[in-house]
Amino acid sequence: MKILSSIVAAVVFTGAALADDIQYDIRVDGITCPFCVATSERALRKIEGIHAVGSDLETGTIFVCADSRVSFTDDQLKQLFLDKGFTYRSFTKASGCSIAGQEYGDEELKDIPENHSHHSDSKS
Amino acid sequence: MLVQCFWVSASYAAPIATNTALPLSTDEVIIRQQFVLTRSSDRISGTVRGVDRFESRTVLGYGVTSKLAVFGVLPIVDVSSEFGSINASEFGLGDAALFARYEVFRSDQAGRTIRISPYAGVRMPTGRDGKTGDGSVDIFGGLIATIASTQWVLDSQLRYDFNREAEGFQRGDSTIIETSFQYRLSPGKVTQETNAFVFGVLELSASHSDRNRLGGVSDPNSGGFQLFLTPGLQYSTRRWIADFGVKVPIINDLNGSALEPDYSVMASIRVNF
Repeated sequence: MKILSSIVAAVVFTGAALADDIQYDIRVDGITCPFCVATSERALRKIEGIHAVGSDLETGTIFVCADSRVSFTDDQLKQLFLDKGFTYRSFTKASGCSIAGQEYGDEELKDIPENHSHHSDSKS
Repeated sequence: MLVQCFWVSASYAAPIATNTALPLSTDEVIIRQQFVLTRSSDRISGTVRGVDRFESRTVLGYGVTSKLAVFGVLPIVDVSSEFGSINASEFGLGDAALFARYEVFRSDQAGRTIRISPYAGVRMPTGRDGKTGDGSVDIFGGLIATIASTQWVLDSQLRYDFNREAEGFQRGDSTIIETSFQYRLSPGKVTQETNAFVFGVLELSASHSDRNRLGGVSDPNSGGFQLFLTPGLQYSTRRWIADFGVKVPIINDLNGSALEPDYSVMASIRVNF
């Protein structure tokens, strides 16, 4: 019975942690191949609080799953991708993460859920 | 001279035999190990004359900033030559090179980029004079333009090699124009799960070399014009890129009885850190 309670508690806790996660969809221009995006993904993974990083090269989007300790700003991301040799454009933020196992096309990116907030710096 | 077979253009952090203007990140280290085997042969009065040159090039690249990258190239050379029943071979360090590349133009869009970068460097006489190196400190430079998308990449470069004299020998200066087209063969569609690309590669390289000079006298059996075609394949992942190509001469218009190349087989792997 004690074991069952522990499992239930763990499941409830895990569910709560996932629900608190935040997904950032970061638009970056100039990335054209898996080899090119690797250093940017590695730099993001090193940030404490980031659990997962993925990318869609076709749309130039890097997906980041992070907890509430992480809070990006446009200036911070602009500098990060400048150092990587690419051009940062904007990011959206949404509660909950859905990075793994999903295919992101243009239509899905245009259809941003209501709970997304949007940040951008104007295109140069 | 044994090293006087033919110059496969140095490919540093590049497609197969060409150069690229795609960036290295700040503090990114890239290591490329390239192997090149070149066979040159002909017949003089029924006697076979041939040179097999195997070169192992280790290339180290470092991103000083996202615009400025520096590269070092260290070749190890094994040259075997034959003239009828006479054979000779040389093995050792070749002439090392150092060069820097600076991005002067960039235009980025989603999944696309255009970059233009000049570069300049020096080749040092680290090889054995007249054996695995030519003994001189040579200067080279050029301009690279790259247009890249997730479907295809086009790299072009114009390069000039200003060769200096050492121990009475001066290799002729050379001008090289190269273009590399890489087309993604797989996967058909890029998704979030895509971790690797397979590119089909086709490269065209034209070069003109002046005649060598020995003791101040022009060597009539050196220099000339060459045009090469290099078909190949490239496999690109997030961490490493492997490529393979065969470079064949389309036009060998060399002066006098200069030994003409038959083919080069090239393979390399590069890893980023």
